[in-house]
Amino acid sequence: MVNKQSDKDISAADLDIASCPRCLAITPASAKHCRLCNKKLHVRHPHSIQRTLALVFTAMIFYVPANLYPIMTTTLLGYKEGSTILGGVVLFFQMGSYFVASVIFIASVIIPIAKMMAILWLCYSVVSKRDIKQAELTKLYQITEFIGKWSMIDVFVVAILVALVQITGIMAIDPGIAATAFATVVILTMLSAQQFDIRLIWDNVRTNSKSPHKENE
Amino acid sequence: MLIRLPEQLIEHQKVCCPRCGGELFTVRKDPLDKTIAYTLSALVLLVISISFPFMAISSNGAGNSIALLQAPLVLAEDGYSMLAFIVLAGVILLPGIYLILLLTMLIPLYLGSAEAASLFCAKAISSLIPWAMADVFVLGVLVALIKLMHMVDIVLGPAFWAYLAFAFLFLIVTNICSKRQLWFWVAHGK
Repeated sequence: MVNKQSDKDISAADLDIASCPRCLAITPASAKHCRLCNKKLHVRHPHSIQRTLALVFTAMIFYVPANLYPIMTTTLLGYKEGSTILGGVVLFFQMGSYFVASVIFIASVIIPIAKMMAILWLCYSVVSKRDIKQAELTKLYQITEFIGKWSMIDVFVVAILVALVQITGIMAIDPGIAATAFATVVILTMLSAQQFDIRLIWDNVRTNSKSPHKENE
Repeated sequence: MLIRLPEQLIEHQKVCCPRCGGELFTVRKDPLDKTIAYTLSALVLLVISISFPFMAISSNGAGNSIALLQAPLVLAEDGYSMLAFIVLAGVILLPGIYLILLLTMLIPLYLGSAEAASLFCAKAISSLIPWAMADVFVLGVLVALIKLMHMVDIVLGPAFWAYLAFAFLFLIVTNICSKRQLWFWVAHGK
């Protein structure tokens, strides 16, 4: 059921009320700390865009070694072979394991790239202040936050394989440097998404003459 | 956007934002009882899954069996301590701490203590919840299984099934204890 009570767009910021990002309680903006959980209070996160961009750029830098170096090394009867993330996907595709190939491809390639692009796009939308589609961008942000941790799949796959496949003399799997780099990318993009203040998107609503919401009413 | 909540809330009712349509919360039946029940079972399953063999492989007579804790241990031995920490924290530590904190917060409420739920626990829970990755780990294990199926024989241990059930219950608990539900307990008690 949808609550259709308000006929006006009132932002808490208009009434000098700030909502706590941690516990969602509302407190007068003049207070320094949230009345419920005592977190330091801001009407909007300070330097939200800068922090988000700094973290996402760092993640992009780490994404390069994550793809160039092997994520794990397989030793079979004394013969060593490293495999990169993309190499693994191609290998599974050739072996006919399309399901595994697509899971790894989606989790390790598409999701991280899409996430970084989404964060950049959100930051651009806030900074450019053009007529933006608020509802869609909010959805985009929620998806970005939700899928964040799922890129860790590849790291867990490596962890399990490394621990399990240690048959002395026949076969061994060791982690590669790309695993660390990739885990760093995932953590950085998660932090980056957390730093983004979604309310910035909606601050443009009332300054735009052609907001989609007002047309609906 | 600031909105006023409807005055009467009915069970299973979903409250949404009138502007973006995003769900604010769903009114649930007995969230406290359910959370405590699921949390206790999840904790038992987590203990089982770290104390029994997780998985074993064999190939041409030679084989290897591991417990869940060996995944981070082997990584640490190989010199990848950061990865080891991520696996240990995301798979075992953080979900475990989350459940324990939830219990310490909710059991006094359930027993009828007049005070509201612990602020400390709620704060700790809020900051660790994005980093608990039980569900992601399960998918990772499945992918690893499919990867190995062609090469070696795999035996799934009791800890594997326990962890699978644990991850499922953990998902239910985190679903019930949304941000709003959690802080509702802190602000208003039962």
